[in-house]
Amino acid sequence: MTVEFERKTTDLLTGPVTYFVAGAGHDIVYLHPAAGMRISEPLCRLVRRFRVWAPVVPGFDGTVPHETVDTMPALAGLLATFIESGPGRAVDVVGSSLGGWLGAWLAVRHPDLVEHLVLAAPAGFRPADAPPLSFEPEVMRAQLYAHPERVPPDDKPPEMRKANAEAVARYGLGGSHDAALQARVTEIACQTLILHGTLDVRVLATGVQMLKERIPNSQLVYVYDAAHSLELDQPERVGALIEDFLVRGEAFIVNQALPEIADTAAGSRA
Amino acid sequence: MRFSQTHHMPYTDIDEAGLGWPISNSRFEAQRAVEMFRTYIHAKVHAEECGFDAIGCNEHHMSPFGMMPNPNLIAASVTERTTKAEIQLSGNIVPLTNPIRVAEEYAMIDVMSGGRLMAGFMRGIPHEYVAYNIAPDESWSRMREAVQLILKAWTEPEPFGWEGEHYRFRAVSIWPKPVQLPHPPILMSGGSPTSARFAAEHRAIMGILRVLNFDQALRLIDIYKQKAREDGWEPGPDRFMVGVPTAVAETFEEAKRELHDGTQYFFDVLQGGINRAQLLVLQKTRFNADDTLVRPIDKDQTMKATPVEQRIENGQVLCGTPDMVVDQIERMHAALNHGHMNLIVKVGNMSDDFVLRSMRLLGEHVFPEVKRLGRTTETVAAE
Repeated sequence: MTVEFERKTTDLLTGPVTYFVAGAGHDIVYLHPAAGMRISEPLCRLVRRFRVWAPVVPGFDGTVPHETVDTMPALAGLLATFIESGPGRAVDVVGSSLGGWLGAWLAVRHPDLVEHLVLAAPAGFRPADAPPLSFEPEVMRAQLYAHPERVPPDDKPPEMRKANAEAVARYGLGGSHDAALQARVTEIACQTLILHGTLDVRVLATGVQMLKERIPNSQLVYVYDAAHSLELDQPERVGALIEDFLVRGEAFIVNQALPEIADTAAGSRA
Repeated sequence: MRFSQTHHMPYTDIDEAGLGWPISNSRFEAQRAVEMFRTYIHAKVHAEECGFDAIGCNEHHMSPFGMMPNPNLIAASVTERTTKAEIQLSGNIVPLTNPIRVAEEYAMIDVMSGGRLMAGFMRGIPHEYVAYNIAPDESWSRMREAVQLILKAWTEPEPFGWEGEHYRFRAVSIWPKPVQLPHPPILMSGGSPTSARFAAEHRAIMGILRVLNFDQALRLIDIYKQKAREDGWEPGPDRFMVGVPTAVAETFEEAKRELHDGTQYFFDVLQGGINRAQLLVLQKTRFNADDTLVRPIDKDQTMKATPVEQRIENGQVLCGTPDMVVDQIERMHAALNHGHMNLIVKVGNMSDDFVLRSMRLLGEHVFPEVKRLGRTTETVAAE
């Protein structure tokens, strides 16, 4: 399943933001992981019934960082501006790893802009006393993918991958421990789906369990046989799960006899 | 050494079961089954009085071989009539069943018994897959996923969902949870290299529930130990359980006769149609395709023709007077260094009076002599 996303740029107060957009319907904002933007199978699936906006965090994928935006709360502010200038109304947010971290900050600081939140293997919630994350390429590859054979070739040139790593450092994301955010996740009021791969060692189960405990209206789902890159390890299951949650909301816990998700308008979900 | 009692609860009022599958139940007499259930459950409860450390219950389907399609029901009954013995579920065939149901029912038994459950996760034998219409080719992938899901259901601090290959649950939070923390001890079969590695991966007690010979048992134990060392830990004797049909009497002649006759009945009648279904599964699927050490079905028939003396020598059975059985256990322990023995006390249609006598002799004269074997600091502390 491939979908053509249109690449665009919008000029915001602090600088330009590149984004991809496709589809029609209720608006979803997809927030990419630290590896940068990739049009994954779950994303293409969402385009079948939603309009998907995928902004590139400034500094990633060859884009220019904004001088005054160098923290996660500041990025959340930039993202709020992007939503107001683009979709122009509250959206559903799907964040993957680093994107989950950013999505959680957005939901804390701008609750009126987030209707539903999906935190897929969200970074930022590693305990302070957890062993430091390795960024050695071989170690990372082993920790990112349970099924490396399913990962499409990375078309990013080496210098872009290097710049992405520098962007991670710029925003201070290497430790994946954000005490300020952890203290405030109780403020996330929207319905939230937390996803965690059963083989994920970069985001620890204790981190997502803490989120489940603290976010009042949340569901935690383990994706079996998936490591940190859920979308690439189990694209079909993860895509169906996210779609089901965004279409049916809280009622996604109810089994449906039909193999396809009911063709319910997103606005009529529970 | 810790001893568990296993009694398959066979239906023994038939002379032949036929060779086809499924085995017809047209000759099943309900009133006889009522009597058998009373007798058999009594024998299980009696095991505690005889000094057995654990009472086993196991799952088999659609055959007179064993009338425990849901062993948890028998376990619940035994739980209520005992106070000390571990309740050894050996076990639920998890690829055939809803894993959440297994987690729930096992947790119930653990609570009902005050924390006496030993939780067996079995893959089962081939014919069970025909009985429950599950593709045998999926047995391992179902097993792997189901075990992880059950452990999650027991240990997860918050409600959770599960999006798997075979199982999907969007909202799980079982009540009750088990008493034993982080979860009850796990028992898994070690009848093949794959299952031995799988058991080690979960630090489970590995049951070699039917020994072919010492070499086969040792190879499986070595595979377990190798996997454990790869994972950074060293298993002690308490990780290994050896299962053997057992007959103890005042004279060797009586024990031998009971074991011989029971074994003939087991292979000629109870095992009847099962063999056919096993062969079909093994020929038409990859149920055991990756395993070279699995006991072939024709070896079962070889066992039937093997003299009791030779079977004792091979380590396949315990048979004789109490003194003889003490020697046999010591010899077996010297070879395998295991910490558990699972004694199958009723073999085929062995008489129920004999079963009770055999158990009493074990408790009075055998266990006191061999309990010291295979004890580690951990097992002593557990006692």
